[in-house]
Amino acid sequence: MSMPDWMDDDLRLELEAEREAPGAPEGARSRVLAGVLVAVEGAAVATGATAIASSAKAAAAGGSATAGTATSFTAAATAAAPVAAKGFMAMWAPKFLAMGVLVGGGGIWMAQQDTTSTVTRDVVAPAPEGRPAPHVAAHTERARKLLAQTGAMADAIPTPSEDQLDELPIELEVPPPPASAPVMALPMNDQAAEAGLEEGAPSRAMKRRLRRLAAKASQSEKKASTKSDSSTDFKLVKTSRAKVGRGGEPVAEAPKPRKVFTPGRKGSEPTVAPAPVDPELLKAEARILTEARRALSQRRAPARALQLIQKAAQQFPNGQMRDLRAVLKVEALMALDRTSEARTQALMFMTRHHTSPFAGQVKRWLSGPLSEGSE
Amino acid sequence: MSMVSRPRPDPKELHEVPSFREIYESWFDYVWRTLKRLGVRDAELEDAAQEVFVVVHRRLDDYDPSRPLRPWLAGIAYKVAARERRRPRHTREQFTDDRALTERPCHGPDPERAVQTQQRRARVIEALSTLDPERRIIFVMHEIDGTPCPEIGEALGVPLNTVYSRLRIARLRFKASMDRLRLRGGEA
Repeated sequence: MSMPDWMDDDLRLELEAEREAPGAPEGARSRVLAGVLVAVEGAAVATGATAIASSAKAAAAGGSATAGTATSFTAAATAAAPVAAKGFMAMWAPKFLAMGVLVGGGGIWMAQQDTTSTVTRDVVAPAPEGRPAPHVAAHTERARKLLAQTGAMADAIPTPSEDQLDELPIELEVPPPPASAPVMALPMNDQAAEAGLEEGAPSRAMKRRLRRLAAKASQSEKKASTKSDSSTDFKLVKTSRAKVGRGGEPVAEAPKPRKVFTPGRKGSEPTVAPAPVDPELLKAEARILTEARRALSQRRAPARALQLIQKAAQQFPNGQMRDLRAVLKVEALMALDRTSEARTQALMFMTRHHTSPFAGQVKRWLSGPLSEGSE
Repeated sequence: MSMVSRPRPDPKELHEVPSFREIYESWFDYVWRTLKRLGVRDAELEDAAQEVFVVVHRRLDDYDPSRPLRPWLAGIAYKVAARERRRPRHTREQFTDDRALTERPCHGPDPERAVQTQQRRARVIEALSTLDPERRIIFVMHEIDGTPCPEIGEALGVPLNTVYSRLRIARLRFKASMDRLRLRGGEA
């Protein structure tokens, strides 16, 4: 290669050295990705309606489990529309909107990255030897089924906070699925199996909780409205639930309960409030997590980051960015050389948030700095 | 030869638009290095890179896949770096030792050579900092990235003659700066 006339040998060497300059330092890639996700979700909140519309587009384009989830939430929101029109809107519509926004944002992101299928195949349930690899379509179908169970009030699903979940299993009485609609048996990933989780159990517990919430909601609606209106609302609620109930059966006709194991504190059902779906709350949560991310990346202050993460966990136990919070917690613990705790948190992350876009990064940590015997 | 005019095919149909994930995975390091060459401080690199990829995410639909990706990304990085420079100093976090945050220790079979290479890179970055932003981006894109001038002009929206003119002045100033830096380091 001929050297330009303005350049001497020294200059050429200097520029060549700069051409081969190393890229970003360790961890920056995942931190920036987390920041991009927060920023994109923030924008989705700002343009909620657009995001919901895009979520349907993402679902159609993606054809994946996550996108399928977006479809289900959108369908749930659609099913709730007639109810909302009759006065139920005031209570549930903002929640559906926010849920649609969030799932839609995730759906767009996942669909645009075209990672969903990879995540589902390789990260969610890596096929161990002797076991068949899970099928992507089965995940999609299961996501649809689970969300259909929750019906039009999917946003009210209570999820135990990070702090409330621990290793101790408890027994919950939940109804078994009707024979007409058997729960699809899917292989779980190894961490979930080790943690003693049973397939489908959380969704049934959630369903039970949903019924209570729905009953409460209809009672409060009754009190608030006139006599004639209240009877109409009650009918509408029942109709809506019947529409989206499993196998088309009325939810009230559930068969006899049975016992299953679910994680949580022994002897008590999770009592946390439903997930915060107010866009303002979401922004507040994003602010804290962004600050935590900056504390990790810029100030190199993992202890401060950990404090912020705990603050976020206290303020938003069911926050919409639980996966980001969890991944930041793992990173902060790693930075503090608390490898054992970081590994536990990483395994818990893979159990709870295996469909998260950060799952790949956590998986790499688990096979690298957090692998067995790395302490 | 048939004279029937056919509609020109949409370039997006001929070339596949890469997904955000592909762009992020393949070009993250390039964006990082470009931002650094454009004068973004080490402590602010992550925020700036995040901003670049948020823009990429937002504008991916507008991207013409028949065009090379590198100048497109460099153009976005240039605008983000310019915004970063316009931010008031008091809103930025101040650090005592900027380099200590991202500079990696020299490992490898030949530490002496590694140190020398690191010093060379530091000199290039310092010499680049003496150029004004409009010339700096053109110099970086052409002399370091190897992007042809017409593509630079297209990516930055600058006339081709202006690109050549800025590049000529940038070369002169960069060389003068490098000479000074070498003298200071006792090399020349």
